[in-house]
Amino acid sequence: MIQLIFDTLATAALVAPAAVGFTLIFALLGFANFAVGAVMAAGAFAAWSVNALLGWPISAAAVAAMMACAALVLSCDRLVFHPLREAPAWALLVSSVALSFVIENLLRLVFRADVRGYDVPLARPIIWLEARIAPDAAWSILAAAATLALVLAGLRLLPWGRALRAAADDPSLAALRGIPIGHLRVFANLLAGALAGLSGTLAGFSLAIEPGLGWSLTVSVIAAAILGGIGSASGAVLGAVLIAFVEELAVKVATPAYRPAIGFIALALVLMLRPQGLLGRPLAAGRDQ
Amino acid sequence: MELTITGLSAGYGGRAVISDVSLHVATGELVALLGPNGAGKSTLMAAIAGTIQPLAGQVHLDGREVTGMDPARLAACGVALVPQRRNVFRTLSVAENLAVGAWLAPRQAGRRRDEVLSLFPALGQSLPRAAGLLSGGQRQMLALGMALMAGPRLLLLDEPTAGLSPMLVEETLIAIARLREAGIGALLVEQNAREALRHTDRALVLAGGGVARRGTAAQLLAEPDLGALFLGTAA
Repeated sequence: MIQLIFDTLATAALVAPAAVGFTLIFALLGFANFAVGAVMAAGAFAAWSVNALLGWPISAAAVAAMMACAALVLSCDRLVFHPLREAPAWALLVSSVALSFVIENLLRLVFRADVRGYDVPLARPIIWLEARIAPDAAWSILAAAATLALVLAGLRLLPWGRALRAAADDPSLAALRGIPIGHLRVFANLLAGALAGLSGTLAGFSLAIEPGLGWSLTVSVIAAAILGGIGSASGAVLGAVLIAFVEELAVKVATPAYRPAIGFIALALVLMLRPQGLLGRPLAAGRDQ
Repeated sequence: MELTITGLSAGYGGRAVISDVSLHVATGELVALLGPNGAGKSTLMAAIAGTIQPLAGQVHLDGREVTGMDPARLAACGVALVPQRRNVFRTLSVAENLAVGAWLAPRQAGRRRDEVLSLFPALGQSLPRAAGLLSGGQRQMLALGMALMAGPRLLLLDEPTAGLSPMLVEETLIAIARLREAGIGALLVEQNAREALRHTDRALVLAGGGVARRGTAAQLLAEPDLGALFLGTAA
């Protein structure tokens, strides 16, 4: 049981940061950005470059990867999505799929298809209550938990955070209350990019760093965001933990080959049974206006 | 703040819903906008607030042209539109809605919150609740309270009493009328014509996308054919 909980948290640590960014962008800009996986791969390569090529510690590499991905996501928004702002959501979604191929192939062009890993000292797993705890995974859980705690607290307590949640709830009303939606979009893209960069960096510990790294996590990220309720950052974290739990359970009772199917099944069930997700917009108790 | 609208036409998909509408709201004046469903009242409000682009005409605030200005910039000029629907952030708590309402005036947030809670005491007991879980009446109060948090000088209120009980309609209209004491003017769209005319200074009746009647509240209430034509059987 302890092992299952630890493995769940380790998987959730890879998925949750990207899911929070995905859900905020979906709610604010009105489309599902399927390029999230490619951005995570870019984050892993950025962290690897700073860590293995420049010789910086992995913590500094993670910060650099977050900054690089924030710049990447903002640039993609300006170049690809901003000109399509008036286009229907499906056009933006298709563009995001195309963008993910462009990013992935640019990574393949620059870094070739070789599999890479971070330059970190090997460490033996710690045995605790019969559970094998890999130090890398433990640090990943702590890094993701600390970052997400800061982000969730900022979204709840800081004016820009509350404004972002308000605009994710209803962008038109947010504009009527004087909130500069254009500036908020920049802020949301930077935040989503940084969080995807963190997810990518952490994924580089447990997955091979190669241009297609993000594909195996994309469905889990989207499923976590939809399960949590689009627009809800805390819901995305909860969704990531639940998706990770079901994935790890499936791995333990069946075979790892079924892991990718879990995200698809969860996505289908949520869309059929509770399309607003677990913490999605509450239904009005009073008369709907 | 004076609102002057001259020859305004607006609509959707290039088709005009209102045509050549002109009106004036003086500083601290409360003007009712009446008319049957589909007359174009909400379209006129949206065109003034910048949520849709006018097809023709001009909107001036204190003599400055603001036609088609971005809603966020118009809000910064002191204009607050309270839409009839989707007028609160349903996933945020009541307290957070009020805090977001103070985006343009964060330093006055504490004082304004006290003022709003004294105007609508019922909101004080629901501060931690998600706005989406409020009753219809509480949600209308929150929508108006959130608009007041920015310290507007002109309110555009689109049916603030829709769905409310008769007692709450009276209370809400009295609260809106009291805002005049603070120098806040308002253009008020209201289906409940008789109640609206009792609390406003002047009124316009929109019909078929244009202004059919205008005058003081007393003049309009005295018109014998007005109820049958524009105000419904309640008049």
